[in-house]
Amino acid sequence: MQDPIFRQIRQVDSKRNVIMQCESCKEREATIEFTTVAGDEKKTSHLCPACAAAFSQQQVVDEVDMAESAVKPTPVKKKKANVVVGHLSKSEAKATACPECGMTYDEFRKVGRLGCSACYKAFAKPLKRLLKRIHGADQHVGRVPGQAATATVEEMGNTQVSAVETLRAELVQAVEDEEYERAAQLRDEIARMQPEEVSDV
Amino acid sequence: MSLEDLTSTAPSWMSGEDDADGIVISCRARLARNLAKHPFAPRITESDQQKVIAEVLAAAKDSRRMTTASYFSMNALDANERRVLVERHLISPSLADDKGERGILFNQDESLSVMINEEDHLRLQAIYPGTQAQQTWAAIAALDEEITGAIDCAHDEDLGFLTACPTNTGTGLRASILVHLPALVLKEDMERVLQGLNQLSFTVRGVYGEGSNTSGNLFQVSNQATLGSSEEKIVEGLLRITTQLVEYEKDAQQSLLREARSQVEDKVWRAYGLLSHARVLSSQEFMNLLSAVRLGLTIGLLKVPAVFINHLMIATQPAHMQAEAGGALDPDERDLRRAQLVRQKLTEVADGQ
Repeated sequence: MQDPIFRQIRQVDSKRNVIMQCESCKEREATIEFTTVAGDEKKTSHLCPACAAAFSQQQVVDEVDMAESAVKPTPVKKKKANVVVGHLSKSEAKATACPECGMTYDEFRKVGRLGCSACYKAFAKPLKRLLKRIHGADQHVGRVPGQAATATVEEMGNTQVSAVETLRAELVQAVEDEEYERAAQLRDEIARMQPEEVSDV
Repeated sequence: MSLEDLTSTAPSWMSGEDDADGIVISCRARLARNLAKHPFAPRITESDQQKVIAEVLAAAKDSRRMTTASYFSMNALDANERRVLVERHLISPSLADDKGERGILFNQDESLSVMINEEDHLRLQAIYPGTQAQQTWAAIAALDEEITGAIDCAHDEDLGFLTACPTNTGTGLRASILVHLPALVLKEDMERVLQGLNQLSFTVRGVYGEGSNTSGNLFQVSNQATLGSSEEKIVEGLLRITTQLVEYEKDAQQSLLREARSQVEDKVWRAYGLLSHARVLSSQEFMNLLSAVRLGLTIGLLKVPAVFINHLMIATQPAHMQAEAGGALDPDERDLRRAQLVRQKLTEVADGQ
């Protein structure tokens, strides 16, 4: 871990079927993919949240800010440590282009704006991760086009987000905020709930 | 309606209504919407932009809420007229400065408006005086119902409304309040408050939105996340924050008055005196003095109506003064003219009492 110029953490897709073991403690489940780039060397490890938290004590690039303001990435400039979640590897980014408007994910990252509504489908996977990072959620709750203004919309949509999902999102946030105590608590809570989740996969 | 009529009046959201404490100036809600069949801003062509405008105006024609509305194409306005609209919070600086076919539709009292071909095809806005966040939301939701019901809106079952920038995806709602927090600034408590707001996923900007500086102790507080919470929840959250901010500010005012009543009163009266007699007023100095006068109103020292303070804030902006003068003014001329305008208005108010 010498002077990593760029580090990336992303949450491993929770819907996958294989359960991966943490490469560090070899005890808990690895739910986070942790990538370090130092010079030309890129290293990816699969870690449990607690180990990932321990690995991410240093400051990292804030990817969301990049997407948001389309400014050039300046490493280690944010006041608090942020963790990069959810963007594609170089080859992935080049290969993905929107069939409607031709925008590539790389181009989107540069301009920070999508080319058309179909981009949301074309970049569904990385966008979902990015949205989760920005908003702490990836499921819309609220109005639909033309909906009566008086309709109650609060209960809509929420059903798809399971309790475990919510905790996971909180965990990612806690790791980002370097609140390791809270992260550990959440990790244990998720562990307790895990059997329940496995049964409904 | 012509733009000339505009500059002599104050928009309805500056009426000072529903602002019992003189702290919350206005509430605003904006919704980002796009048409499904047209490319977004980075890919849009001028002919697409024209089609977007035509479709939106056709939808707005049937809107009951927009019966008194006027439409202005940005390309038909000169630079100063566009700035007037920015100063009135009707359009964003980028709508004023960008290239291409774009425009603004707004109703007569300026409470409801639709920017066309900004970053998103549509930016609906409602703006009301004081703490009327719920009324603001009701108004924008009603306009949204009419407009998005009549267009083919870019929307996804899981992600909600699709916007050019992922920071707006979902509800597309940015709900905000404009607050005046002089005592918190004076007591150097603002940093702490800002941090607290950040933790609650609220963001603080200057009066003119993203990238603008805070001046005159005015802050615009808005929600950060647009995805995952319903619009009602977002508005409720903003209202809770508002109540808290007002409480903090009132506490800070009370403690200032306890600790240094004569200094506070002196500050207010000096500001009033300077505004009444100064011959040259830069916009920065003016905003600071006006803030002290507004504080005087809040603590019951001065009896200047809030609407007067609010109107003065708009009328002394560069584009408004240039529109009034009928031509360009350099910064020195503006400072002279600003002082003159303020003097004249303060005399009118004093005479009226």
